[in-house]
Amino acid sequence: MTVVAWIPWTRPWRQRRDYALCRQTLERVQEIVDGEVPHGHTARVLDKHLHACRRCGEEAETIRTLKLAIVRVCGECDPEAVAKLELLAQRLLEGHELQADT
Amino acid sequence: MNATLEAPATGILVVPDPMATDLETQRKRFEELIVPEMSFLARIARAMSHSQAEADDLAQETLVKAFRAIDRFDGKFPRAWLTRIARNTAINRDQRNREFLQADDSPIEPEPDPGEVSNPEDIILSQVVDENLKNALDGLPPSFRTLIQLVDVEGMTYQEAADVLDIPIGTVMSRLHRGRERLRKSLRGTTLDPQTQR
Repeated sequence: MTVVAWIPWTRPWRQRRDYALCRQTLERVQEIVDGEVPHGHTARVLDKHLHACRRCGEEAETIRTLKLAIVRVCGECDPEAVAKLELLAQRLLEGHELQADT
Repeated sequence: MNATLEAPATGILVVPDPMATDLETQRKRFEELIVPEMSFLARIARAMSHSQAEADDLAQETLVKAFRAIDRFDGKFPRAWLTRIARNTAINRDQRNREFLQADDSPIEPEPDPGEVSNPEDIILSQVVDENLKNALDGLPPSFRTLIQLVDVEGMTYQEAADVLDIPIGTVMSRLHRGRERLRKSLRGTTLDPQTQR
């Protein structure tokens, strides 16, 4: 890397800054999507970069899409399993604990 | 034990049995706090198990344990409490689960080549993808699946998930990352190109 890369606002400097920002964003993209980056300067910088950088933005979008698909697949449960649990809860409340346990 | 306070036919005033009243209170708490969470319990038990039959057993055992321990429950965060009981029950049940739930010793997946990463368009909302995703989720170790369930579906924060599963927050993040990478990898072959759909 040349010395120019350390001189602010030059093209190499911008490239170096963008590269570092991409790395930082990709490292934390999961936290960003999960809403785990605390509000503040870092969150704002990363969010701005996500909107500006196609690669980082796509990565975030992929995780969001995957999360939505997971909610769709795992958000519902077997109604029969729930019915069995409700029945067991009822029996426990009626005092059939021992029978239910065996 | 019956907690009825009715006076017998003799007309003698009966002092209510404090133990019985206490039991009634506990039953009420169970009914108010735990019974509404049956769907949650069924989902979380499924995430911790290898099959639906195993999940049914785990959920029922957890429910019975919750009923017996309701007097020790502080009434806060019933979901977190149920998850802890289910996790401990799963760990105690068999060695296989013990390995999955306690250790984080599965091989680390190599970082995906940026050129190979599945795009959002790849994970199209479709039945085929749902089926593939379901299979991929079933293929994950229960520790990964449980975490994904807690964070993505139940909306827990990393810290809440770390607390209920009794693991460090760093492990939460690495398991989530690795679990999602595996899911993405398994969906890579299922790309439904919009052009081919026309």
